[in-house]
Amino acid sequence: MAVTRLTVLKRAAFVALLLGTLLGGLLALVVASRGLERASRASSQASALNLARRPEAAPPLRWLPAPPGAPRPDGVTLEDLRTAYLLGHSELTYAARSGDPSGLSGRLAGNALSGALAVTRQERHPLLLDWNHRARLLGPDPAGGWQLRVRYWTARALPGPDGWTDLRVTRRDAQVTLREQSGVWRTTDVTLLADTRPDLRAPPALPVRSWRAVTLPADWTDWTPARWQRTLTLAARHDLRPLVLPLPAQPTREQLGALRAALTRLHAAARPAALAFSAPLTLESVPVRAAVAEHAALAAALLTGPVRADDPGSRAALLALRLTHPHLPLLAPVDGPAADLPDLPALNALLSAQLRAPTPGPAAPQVLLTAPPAPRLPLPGRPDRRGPALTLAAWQGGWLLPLDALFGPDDRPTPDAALLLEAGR
Amino acid sequence: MTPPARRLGAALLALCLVACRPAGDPPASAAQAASVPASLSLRAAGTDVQLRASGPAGARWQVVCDTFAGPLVWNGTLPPVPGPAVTRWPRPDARSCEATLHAPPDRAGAPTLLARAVLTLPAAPTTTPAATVTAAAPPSALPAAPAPLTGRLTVTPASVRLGLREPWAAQVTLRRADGTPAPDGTPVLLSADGPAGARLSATRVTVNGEASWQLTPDVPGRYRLQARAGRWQATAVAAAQPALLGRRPPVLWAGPDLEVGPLRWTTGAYPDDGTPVTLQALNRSGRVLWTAQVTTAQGVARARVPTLTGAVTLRLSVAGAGESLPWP
Repeated sequence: MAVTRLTVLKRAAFVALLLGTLLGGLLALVVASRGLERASRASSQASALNLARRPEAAPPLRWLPAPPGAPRPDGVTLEDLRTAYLLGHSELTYAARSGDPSGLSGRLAGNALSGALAVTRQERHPLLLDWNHRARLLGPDPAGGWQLRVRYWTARALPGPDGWTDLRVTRRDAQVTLREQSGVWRTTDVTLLADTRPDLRAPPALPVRSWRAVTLPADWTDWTPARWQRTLTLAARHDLRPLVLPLPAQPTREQLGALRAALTRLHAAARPAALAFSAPLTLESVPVRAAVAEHAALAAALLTGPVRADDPGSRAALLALRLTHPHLPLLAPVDGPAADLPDLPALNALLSAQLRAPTPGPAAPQVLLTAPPAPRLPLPGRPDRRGPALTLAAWQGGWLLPLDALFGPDDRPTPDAALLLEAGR
Repeated sequence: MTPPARRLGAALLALCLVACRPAGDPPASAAQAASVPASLSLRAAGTDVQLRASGPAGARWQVVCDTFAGPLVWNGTLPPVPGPAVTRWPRPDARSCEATLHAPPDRAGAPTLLARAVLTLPAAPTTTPAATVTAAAPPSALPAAPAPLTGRLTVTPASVRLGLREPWAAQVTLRRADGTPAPDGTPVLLSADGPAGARLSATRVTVNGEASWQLTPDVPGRYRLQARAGRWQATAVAAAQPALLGRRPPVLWAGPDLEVGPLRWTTGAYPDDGTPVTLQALNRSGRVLWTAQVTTAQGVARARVPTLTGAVTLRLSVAGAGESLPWP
């Protein structure tokens, strides 16, 4: 059979189409992998940038008085030195986590820069956090610049196949030299003097079995004095204590100002107060929570946010808060299966009390009872279990409930809450 | 296919299956891991850090050193050759390093920890500016002085001889930052630490920016004098030397009393009346038989001595100077 010219053309067109499709597919794969790589790098850099943010509302550095006779800086303010020092730490956190060393030379120089580059060049990108810095100005450096003696808290972790591994929380003492180079103050020399983990003390005892605690609504930061007075009168009438002030994961300067004012107001009214975060406690959230806890010296306890019992990150975060504020009782709702984690203390050695929904039978001494949240949709298969929980809590005592759930708009207790408020008085 | 050929085929297939099994059989390596003892040591060797690890082949070691800029991590796997594997690298600027050795990875779960070693490294000496000698002191509760003062502490003479009516004249001159004298009435504390725990301290207020003291030490040795006013402080060092007795004093018995003197300094003067003198009687082997503390009057020290047998030496000490005389 003779092959006509048309057939040859058809076959050639078919082969060309096939090859073109193959090539196009390959090209698409290459472009997609490039794009994916760039997108994943951008997202890791964005999350590292998020880590490197220092809580602007609660400054993480406090100056201690300089030793007697130490000269005062001339031509530079303490604020300049503080900013330069903290930006150096932010850059370290970012570069270590993202592996991107491009910004290091802008904030560090000398041996600090070479040490940071050595850490950044590694294959595994560690998590590096720092909080609650205390600095003391020592005096001028003989080679120019200023010397600081600093003490701060730090946590490090290495990425593992499933979560963080090699977690370590320590308190560091270091001598830091800051110098001005081409118009920018940079951290140039760092000598680590000590890097230790202080002994863990037993958590402070907290009589949660006698608590009649209420969580204020989230808009408490905007309350007028009249609204505060109404709430304080209500709390005094029903013997509600302590009042729990909820805070968002990243409080603003205004919210922290309102927190200080509220704590002073409650202290003056002899009504104990506690501080609560509702976002889950992770290692990454420790710097903000530790800084906020430092601003809440008058608070009776800190509700750290939900903790997973089998997660080393949140266990290490609890350890970090416990070590940084050894006198502040910590409370948290714990979920997930109980687990022993290597190198990390048990939950009972970290928490003063746990928050749990009430169950029939006697409650453990270090358990604060809470009601399950209201169902979002009133579906027939999912009944509202808050009523029975309130009844149980009334019998067992020691509870923490939202203020809105106990009182109606006219400040009268709801029918479910009446029994609870009567019990134990 | 005939039955013998089928049997041969089955045997070949079985052989092939056995031969094609992966070489690193996990249960076999786990059993091997349990049999080889694991050891790990981490130490500082000069300017290096050295890791010595031994254990089952394929076991993974990791060293983490915490520097200021973050953790530095080194990893490795133990080779199949027997004996410890030694690795060295330059010592990082870290205060602690931690080494761990994990069993070869198994299919099930996390690798088990075989050994752990922690190395604590000392801090390098820091260069502290000269002006901040008390840099490491705890936060002081001193109230802030309204204006920083500068000043000078002088002590003359730098060396005094005990017993010769030579006091130290210490003077502090205080000025404000603009050079004018410190306000009248600024309190200045002068304190001195001497040998054997000798201490003295006195506060004076300034007049026209000056405060002065006259101090008479009674223990020979080096004294460190320190003056403080607000945040200003200064130190000076001065010495008190024992005076020398001029010549050997005569010793006489006056009835039951022993009379030593008159004592004279090298200048020929008598010691001040009331200068304490220690008299001791020693026997031949140097044991003290009797001691008395008396004071001088008109240069003469008198003491009533009990009946002593075997005394051969009379030792006399006054104002840091000593003299040994034959027992009369």
